[in-house]
Amino acid sequence: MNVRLSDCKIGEQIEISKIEDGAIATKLIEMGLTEKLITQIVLVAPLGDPIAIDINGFILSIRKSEANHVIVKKIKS
Amino acid sequence: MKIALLGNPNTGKSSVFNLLTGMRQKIGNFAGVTVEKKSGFYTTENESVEIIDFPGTYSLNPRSVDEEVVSKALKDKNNPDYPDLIMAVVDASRIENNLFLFTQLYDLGLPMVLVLNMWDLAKKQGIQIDLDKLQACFPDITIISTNARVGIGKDRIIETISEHKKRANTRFLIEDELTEESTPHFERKRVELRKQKIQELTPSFVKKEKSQKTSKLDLFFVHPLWGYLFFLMVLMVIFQFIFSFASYPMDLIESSFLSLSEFTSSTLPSGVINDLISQGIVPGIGGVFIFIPQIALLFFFIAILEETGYLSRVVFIMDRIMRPLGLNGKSIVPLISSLACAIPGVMSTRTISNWKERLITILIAPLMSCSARIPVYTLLIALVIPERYVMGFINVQGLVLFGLYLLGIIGALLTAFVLKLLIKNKSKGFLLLELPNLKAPVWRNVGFTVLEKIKIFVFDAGKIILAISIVLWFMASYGPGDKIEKSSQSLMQSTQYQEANKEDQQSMKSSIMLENSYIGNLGKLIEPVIEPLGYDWKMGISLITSFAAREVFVGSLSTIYAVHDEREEKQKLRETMTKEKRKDGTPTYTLASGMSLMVFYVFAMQCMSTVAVVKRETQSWKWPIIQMAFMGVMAYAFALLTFLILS
Repeated sequence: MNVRLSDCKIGEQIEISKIEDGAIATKLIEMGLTEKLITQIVLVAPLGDPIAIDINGFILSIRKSEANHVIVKKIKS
Repeated sequence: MKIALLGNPNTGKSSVFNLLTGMRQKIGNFAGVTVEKKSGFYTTENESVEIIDFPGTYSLNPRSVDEEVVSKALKDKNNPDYPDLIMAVVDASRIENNLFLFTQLYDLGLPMVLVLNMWDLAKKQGIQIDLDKLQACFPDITIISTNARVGIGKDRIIETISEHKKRANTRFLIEDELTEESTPHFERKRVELRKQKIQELTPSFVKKEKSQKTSKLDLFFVHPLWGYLFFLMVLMVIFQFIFSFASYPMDLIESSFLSLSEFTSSTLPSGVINDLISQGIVPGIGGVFIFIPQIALLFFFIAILEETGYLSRVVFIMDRIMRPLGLNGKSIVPLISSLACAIPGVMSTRTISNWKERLITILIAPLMSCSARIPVYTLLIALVIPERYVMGFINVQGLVLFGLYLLGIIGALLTAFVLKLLIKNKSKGFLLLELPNLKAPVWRNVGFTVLEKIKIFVFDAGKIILAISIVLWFMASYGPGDKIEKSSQSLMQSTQYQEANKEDQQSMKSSIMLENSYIGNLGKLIEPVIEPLGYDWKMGISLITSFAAREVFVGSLSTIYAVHDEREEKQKLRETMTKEKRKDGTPTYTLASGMSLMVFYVFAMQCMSTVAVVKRETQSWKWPIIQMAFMGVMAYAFALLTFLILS
């Protein structure tokens, strides 16, 4: 089931399935947010935005407007 | 030999830099841009080695000004910063992530040394790196592991550099395989290919036990209640230090320079040179040094916040609140600091990486009411606001003071909003921010940051401050033609002068001198312009002299009104000002003109030191001039409005 990263909840195991083309896509990939990466949201800012994800121990903060361009799959754990 | 020090942010790059160069550091800017360039030296038996500490980046594909500096210097052999050797610092605990930039650097084909830093942290996190296998992947460079934070590895790094290997023309990824075309599509393909290759390769030399949990401390820092409360507490501590505790060393500096000025004045033979030194240069240098305690204290705290990684958490919780105003989560620290003094505030915007957000923060910082406005506010409030209470317990004078602060803050935020719409942005306003591991600060790095900021201020901004203060001194001490001489002669013949005691005579003389000086004439010249605001030429003179610093306003008025009594000067000045009458016999200082003057000081850029620092931080006169202009317009417009409403 594909959803957007911006709609995921803290702690859910997810797999990145696609990063939509856009100004920020390449930058995200450079920072390690690659397709097939298994990750989860580890922190959410008080107003629900931005969120932080764990990329193999590298914690990346990303605004919801950008997370909206990342399509993910939820993994049952 | 020239070495380029490169790496991702938060890899301990500056620890390596400080470890190698120690006190032999220089701060400048890369040609044509506002990116700070730190370089340093160390010497071995054979040679002197220059290290350039480039800004931390995640990639060589330039997307920000910082990254452009890096990619330009490394890809163009004619660039003045083109290195002989690249020293790449990689955080061993995040090796896979860091390898992206590293392999890009590797593919430049320059001689290279790889410093695997934070070796101890990686071990603690259960990450094992097989150095032999890593070396096999990159055979023609030297790889060493260090813990620069605790100062381990200096000799080994220096040794490795002097014995660096020749490159064998090997590449990690031949990008030409794809195509040279630089459309976003192919750029993405190239990046994906590199990342993919790294992901395939990494398991061969990195073994990782299971991933760690989110730290409890982080959950506290971003908590909707505790997170903000903790941050508020941090701000209050910082504010307390730069607002109150800094005043002790500042008083000491002030009195030292005062006695130095008296000393030079009494020892040097009297004349123009004596006046220049004792009244122009010495107080001018004192005016630069006076800011050092506040700068040192603020950067001591900011360096700790950065070193520990807490500042990134601040951005994380403040981003959503500051974003609509065109500001950055990090803007909050400079703005709060500016409530004490805009000088360290403006300097501390360096932590904001987005140029537009940084510029807006710099431009609005002086609108926050700083401590130099307090003497002006308190003098005028005591003069025109009655000491009354509303609702039985709210002091009206206190209420007005609070209102002035609020006016400044609201003015700053609204200006930010307008500037956000006006200033064009070069880079896209996205926020991709790393939240680095929380760790204890390296005190050596904190010390270096404080020293560096003091050096920047004293040598760069200090020059401008000294120059302006000498000009102001000249304009206040000399006048056109023989006007000063003539008027002092006629003063000395007046009966009022002859009957006065010596001290009063001295103050009358100073008053006449200032009135007939260039500044005095300028004050009279601008009278028609400031008359609609309710000011006369005497206030005009004080407005001009207080461009040196706002608190000078009070001293200037004392000179003009010939008030000298040191112990009760303020009391006496207030009495004189209350009695002061206009030509038509009405009092000069009324509720309307007093309030108008205070509102003027809320908005006007009456501070040459801020101008100098903004020039230093934006690397051009364009922004300080624009800033002075819009602040001046705001000051005039709101002062006029205040005067019209109240009179």
